[in-house]
Amino acid sequence: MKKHQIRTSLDHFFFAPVSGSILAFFRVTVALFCIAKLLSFRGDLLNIFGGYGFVRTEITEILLSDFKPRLSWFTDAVATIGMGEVAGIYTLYVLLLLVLFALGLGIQSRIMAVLALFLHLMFFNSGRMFMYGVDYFTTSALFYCALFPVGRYGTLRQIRKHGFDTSAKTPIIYLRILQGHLCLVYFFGGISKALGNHWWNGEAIWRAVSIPGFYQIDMSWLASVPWLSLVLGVGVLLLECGYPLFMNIRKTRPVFLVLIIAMHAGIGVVMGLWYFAFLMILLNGVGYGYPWIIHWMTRFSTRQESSPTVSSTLETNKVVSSSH
Amino acid sequence: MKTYHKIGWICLLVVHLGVIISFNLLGLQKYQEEQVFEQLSPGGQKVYSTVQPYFTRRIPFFLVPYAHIAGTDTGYCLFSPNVPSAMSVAFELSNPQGDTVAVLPTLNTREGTDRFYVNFNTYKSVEEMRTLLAFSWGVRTMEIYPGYTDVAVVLGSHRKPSMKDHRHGVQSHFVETARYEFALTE
Repeated sequence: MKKHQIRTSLDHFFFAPVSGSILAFFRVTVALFCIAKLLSFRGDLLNIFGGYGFVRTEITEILLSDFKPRLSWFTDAVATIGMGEVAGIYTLYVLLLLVLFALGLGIQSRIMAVLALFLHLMFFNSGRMFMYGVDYFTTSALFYCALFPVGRYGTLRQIRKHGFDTSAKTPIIYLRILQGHLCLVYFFGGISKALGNHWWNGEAIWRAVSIPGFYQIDMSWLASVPWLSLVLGVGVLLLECGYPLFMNIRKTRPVFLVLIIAMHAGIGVVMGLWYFAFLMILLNGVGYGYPWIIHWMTRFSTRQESSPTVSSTLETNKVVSSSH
Repeated sequence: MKTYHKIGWICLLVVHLGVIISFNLLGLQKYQEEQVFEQLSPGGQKVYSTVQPYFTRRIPFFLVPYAHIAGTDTGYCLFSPNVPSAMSVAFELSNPQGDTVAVLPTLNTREGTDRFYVNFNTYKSVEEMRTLLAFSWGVRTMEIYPGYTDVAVVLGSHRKPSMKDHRHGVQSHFVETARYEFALTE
């Protein structure tokens, strides 16, 4: 009996049904995010990638293992038909944008997600020395899009045929994987900081807000209120180290989620790392804020169904005017 | 979902999280290096010395491609154990007429400029790459500013005073740490 109970609760923990609309939300927002991130450095494409960049292809590839996808696989191949490296890089760039667009719409989602992941890795590896945390998390997000059945819910075809259906269910295991990943990210981030001393005495925040490359706003006033820097530094440690525990306790989750979102928003404002901040907020939102997102999506879709569409409003107006 | 599907997903969850843990423990191995270990607090040094023998030393080779595809072939140790001094680079360009101009890395977008600073991670961690990187940056800068025949790539770090020193009027200052000179030849 007890064995059966344990099995049932484990089954419930890992495979309880949740609305599949959360996977649709994940697919669409990840695709839009990737498109925005790609467009953000469109003017520097050739400064970052290829043989004319700040770090030449041959230098970047010294540190690359053979199995890692790279742009030169494509540019070398198309060179045999007379296409130059620059044209090759732009072709892959446009292709990646199109693939992400199709992924967002839910057209052949699995294939598009795999293709987007592969193309993303080609850019990621070829511009390796320009890639940071946000690009690793982008890889993970695309990997999850390829792994999870994100194309079963809220695709363009489904919406056109039946409207946006939030009642379709999916097992929660996909969110559990994301939750586990996030717990480890914050736990190791927190532990590795806690071993040093800058995060305990406030110096870390003081130094982080004034790194020349990420300098956004004048924060020199922080030196006059050292206690604030100290509180923020210790707060980051508590948030990160406590994440696996407090995010998994139902009562503390909303507060912790808000604090984590505030922390990332703060990083966005003070250090200008908006893409990183947005992606982390998105992953946290889907991983732990899914009940609220599903609730919001259900309300939105219900309102859409109940409110008159443009065409029906026009028809009504027509009837009203003809009756007059 | 069928039972064997469920077993498959649980196995994947275990492997996936195991890979993340392994790469993070591997990343923490760098704390053994003398200059990093010295940055740990006395309590941190004690804790680290106690747990370090249990850390992963190698990742099974077949998991490396998986971790790469999953984006988990990294540790999550940004700004740890402490926030380091920020590095920066400037380029001194000169021509045969003796005109000299100093420029910063010239990229076209804010995102591109931010990303240029990520180069310093490789510069700092892979000693063998330093001259090659400086050369590559220098060549690109000469292409952006044509007409110059010599470039000096000047690297340094911004030494930020502590909050206490800042309150006493100490300002942050730039300390040159390396200089690479390259010239165009016929």
